Amino acid sequence: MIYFFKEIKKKKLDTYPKVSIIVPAYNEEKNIEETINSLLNLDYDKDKLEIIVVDDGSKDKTYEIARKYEGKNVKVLRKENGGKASALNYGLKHASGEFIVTMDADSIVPKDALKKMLEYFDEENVMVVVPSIQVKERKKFLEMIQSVEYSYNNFLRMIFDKLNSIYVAPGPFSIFRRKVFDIVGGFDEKNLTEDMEIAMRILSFGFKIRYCPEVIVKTKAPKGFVSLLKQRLRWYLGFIENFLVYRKKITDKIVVNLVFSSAILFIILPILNLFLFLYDVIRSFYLQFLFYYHIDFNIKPIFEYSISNYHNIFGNLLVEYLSRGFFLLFYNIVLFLIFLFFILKSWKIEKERSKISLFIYSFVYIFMYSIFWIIAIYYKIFGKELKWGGVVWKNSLINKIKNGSK
Amino acid sequence: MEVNKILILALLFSFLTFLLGISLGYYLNKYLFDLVYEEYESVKLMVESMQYLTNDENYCDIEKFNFLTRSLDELGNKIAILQNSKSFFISENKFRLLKAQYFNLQYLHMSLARKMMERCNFNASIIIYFYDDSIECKECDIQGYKLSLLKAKYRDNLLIYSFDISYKNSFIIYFKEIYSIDIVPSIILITKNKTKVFRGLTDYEEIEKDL
Repeated sequence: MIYFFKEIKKKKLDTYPKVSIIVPAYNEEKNIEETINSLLNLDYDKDKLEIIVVDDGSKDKTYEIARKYEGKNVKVLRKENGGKASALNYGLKHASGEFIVTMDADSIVPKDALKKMLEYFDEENVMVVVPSIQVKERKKFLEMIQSVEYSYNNFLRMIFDKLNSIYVAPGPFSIFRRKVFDIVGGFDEKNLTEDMEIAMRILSFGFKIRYCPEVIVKTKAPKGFVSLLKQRLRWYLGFIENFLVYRKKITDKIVVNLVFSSAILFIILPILNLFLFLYDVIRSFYLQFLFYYHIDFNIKPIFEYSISNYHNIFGNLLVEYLSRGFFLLFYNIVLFLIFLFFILKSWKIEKERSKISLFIYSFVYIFMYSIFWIIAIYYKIFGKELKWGGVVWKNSLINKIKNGSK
Repeated sequence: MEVNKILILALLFSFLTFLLGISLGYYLNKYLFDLVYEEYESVKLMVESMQYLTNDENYCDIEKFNFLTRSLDELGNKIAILQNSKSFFISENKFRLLKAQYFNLQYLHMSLARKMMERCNFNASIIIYFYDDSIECKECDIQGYKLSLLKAKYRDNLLIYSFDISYKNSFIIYFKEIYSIDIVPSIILITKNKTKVFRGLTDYEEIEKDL
């Protein structure tokens, strides 16, 4: 309903300000060239554009490759490995622009990204503008699922924008007013999700974060299940921790309630559905096993008899699902349709094509999303230690209790 | 539009969706019950017609009789599914009435079967199986599985009639008395030559010896 009733506002700029784009990079020799080239291709006055690549102690040839582009618009800095947030803060110290852009070293932007996004700074208290994000490649199964997920998140951003509740400034191409760092401080170098933390911190100061749906930044998505799981664990644990810290500091209760209730809804409902589905499947297998166990696994006569009565299968299924399954099925159908609506609305902007694959990937994504959240909640309670690059996480409840008792 | 007004509209919309779900559930379950009841009426019509014909004429259409048996079995399956669903949209009393009527229909079919066995060249065995759904009876479920295997093996040559002894149909009370059925599960096996009673859980191999 928010989507239909609230309008988006923006303001055309008379002059374009100076912009510094910070590109923190760690072991990105395969991607850094493409990223820098896409930034150099931006349709923006080159005298007002500064690109700062910060090599965060890469062990590969990232620094050497970036140095090839060093020149009037491109600065390449090098520091010891300390994590993405430390690289961003290092870049901030060397940036001279009125606006600061964070840019992941494995992402690419459209030419008109800067000009379009700057139009969304329509009020003085708008401190950040974020873009739509999509996956760069859609060849593998996991990439297709993530593509659906990103479309879903893009739609949610549309809604959250209208309620000033965007709670993350994604790494690929979020634009900040430089002065916000003087007011709220730089990126938290110890945080799992520094992009989420800074966004919530900015909201807690009463500032606004806007969303520019028409700029679609493409980013590299994890191709393997383990790397995807690691990424999602970091995001979800980061969300839990940052939200717990900022829910009392953010004064706008609509923001807090919306983020909290949508998190509950979108975590609990899929998990509940997953458990109900698994319960049904396991129970069916269990009952079947019991049946065959008590007839000493004489499967052949049962199978032959079932085949001879195949014409009754449809009638029995109809009775089965109308009597038991429909009530729950109706709500699953409604939720699934709402989810598809979100994706299709997002696709209007992304100009996506394949609608048949949408059904398949959406169905798989909903279950995968639940599984990732279950794992994240498990780690939050029982986890020992997790590492992502330079960031070490030991914040589980069990660890807190152990450290508290010492 | 103000955010609060939108949220109120959204709440109203969600409530209506919820109400729609409940209404759809109610009407679909009602439709389902009526569907099963119509099937019961249709099978009852066929059994009664054949019963009248067999009373008056020397009628021996075994194929038609077997078709009737299969229709009765299918109806029984659907009633069992309905029972297992425990849907709160279906009234307990209505369901019990349907089940009692189904038991009557089974009895009618069984007396038809006995006439066919006497008059026609129809070699079949009859199993009357007693269970009790008003108590926790895991052995009743297990007996059901074993009888399903026998049915799958012998098909039209084995007629199985299942009765819940907690129901007050006259013939159920009568059989309980004359065969001293005091525990569940219990089975009465009727063949051309003899009648045998099995009390308690009985393995299919043991029943098979007398088929």
